[in-house]
Amino acid sequence: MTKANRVGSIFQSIIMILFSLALIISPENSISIVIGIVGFGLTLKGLGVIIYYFRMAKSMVGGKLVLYRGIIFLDLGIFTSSLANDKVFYITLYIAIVNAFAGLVALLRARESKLLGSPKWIFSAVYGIVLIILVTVAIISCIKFDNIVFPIYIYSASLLYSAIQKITAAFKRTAIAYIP
Amino acid sequence: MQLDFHYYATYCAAFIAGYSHEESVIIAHSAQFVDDCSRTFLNRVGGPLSAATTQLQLELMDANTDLVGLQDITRIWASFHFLPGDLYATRKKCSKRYLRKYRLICNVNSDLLIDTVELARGKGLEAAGLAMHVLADTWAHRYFAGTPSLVINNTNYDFYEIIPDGEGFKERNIRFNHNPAAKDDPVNGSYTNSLFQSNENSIMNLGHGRAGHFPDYSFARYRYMPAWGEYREFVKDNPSDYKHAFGQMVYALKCLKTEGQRFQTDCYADEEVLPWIDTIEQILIKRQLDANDDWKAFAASLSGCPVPDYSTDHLQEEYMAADQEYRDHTILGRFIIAALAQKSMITNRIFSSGNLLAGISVDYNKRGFKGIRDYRKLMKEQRREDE
Repeated sequence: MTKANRVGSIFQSIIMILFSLALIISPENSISIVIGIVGFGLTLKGLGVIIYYFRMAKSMVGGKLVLYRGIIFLDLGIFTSSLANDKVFYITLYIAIVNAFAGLVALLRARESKLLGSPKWIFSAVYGIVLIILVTVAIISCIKFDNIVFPIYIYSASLLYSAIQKITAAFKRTAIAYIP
Repeated sequence: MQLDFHYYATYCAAFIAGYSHEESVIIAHSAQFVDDCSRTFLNRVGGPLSAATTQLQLELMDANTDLVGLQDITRIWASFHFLPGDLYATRKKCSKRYLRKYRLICNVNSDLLIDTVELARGKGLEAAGLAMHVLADTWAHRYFAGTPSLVINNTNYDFYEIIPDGEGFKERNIRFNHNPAAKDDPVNGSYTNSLFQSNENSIMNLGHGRAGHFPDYSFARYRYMPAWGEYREFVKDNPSDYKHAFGQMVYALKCLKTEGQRFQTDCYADEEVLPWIDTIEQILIKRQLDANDDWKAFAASLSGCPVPDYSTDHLQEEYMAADQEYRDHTILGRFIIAALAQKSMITNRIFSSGNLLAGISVDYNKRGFKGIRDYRKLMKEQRREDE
């Protein structure tokens, strides 16, 4: 990472920490802002990928996959932005599902790391399992006990965890990656 | 290409072209040194950083991929390792941004190759060696571009190695992995490549990274679909291409030795190479990760003299021991000037074609000196020649 990348990473982490604290302190009020930002971000990313497809990837072998990615991001972004204030229940359910997906990706990464012989697969596996358990408990508490706050706490915790990971990575020495 | 061809094979080509053992060693050293002259090295010896002809893995990881960073990367890789085949290539129904990258695809026998070889004329053995590296790499690296680009340099699962099988050949799907600690395994068809990154300008999409080190093996024959190829399959036959590279190097070095004989593309010194063609073919088709020993033995049998192992120690020592005003007259000093000249020329050609991917080029003879201070060395050298 360059110095600028490290500073950017730390700045992003601070923003994430502030957001997660805001969610913990006042979950019902903060969630709408967070959803708005997440929705806007996903929409922009989707548009960016679609523009990249038409400008560049249209001429590339396998370029259609880029278009599909862009459409999926755009759809997610529009869907997220469309969630209104009185549908907090569905918003929190949506966040829980997104985190469950993140947990699944972590488990797949752990599997790949294990196949490549890296000892770090354990961390990814533990992270994935913990996330899935928490999300399962959150969904059950949402549906069975009408408790919408617990999923928000899970989301805050995952935001805090990501922020700490980013800060740790910002202070790490650059690892050598293979470029033949 | 790797050390076996850039160093030993270039030595052999130089000797066959009529250079002495000592001259061939200098040419071979310069040819291989293009793969080692990084900013880190130049920093260590106190040389001009703009003369860098390669970037180390760590340097690439720390490199910015903003516009200026990309221009810096492209200047190095397109000038020395992925010489563009056609800067005025056309393609239907594509954006200007795409076309700029498309035009940097490396290919053999280009006009830029003529310019590269002719630029070395009268500039010493170091310049000749540098030109031979660029020439040789056009054969190994054709169809890839010396700029980070997903849409040009990406490869996919449709990548087959063509392996000799008795009288014929068989095909085997190559399994690429991303484990840098694992050695390539030609027996089982397992090779390392760079990670897939969807970011267009990611360093992982530079050159032939997405095919790993595989294109640099002389025994490699493969069929694949380059990302720019519109779903056409391309077959790459490295034993044949490397043979052409060798013959072309002999021809080019002969041209440089002969006054008035201008280098032309698509010409190969087939007659001069003929007595040794079987030995060369045997080395090229042998399935081994490096052919240093075989080429070294061949080189020794050619000249009757043992070829010293490749090393940069003597270059460093000579350069650092010399006074500032005499550094340009050392082997490394002359190599540095040749590198600056090559980079300057290629950047100028790319810029003149309307492509800003290698940055802006200023004709300092017309408009006065502007830009990077290191290039003053080039101007000083040109004035010396004019006098």
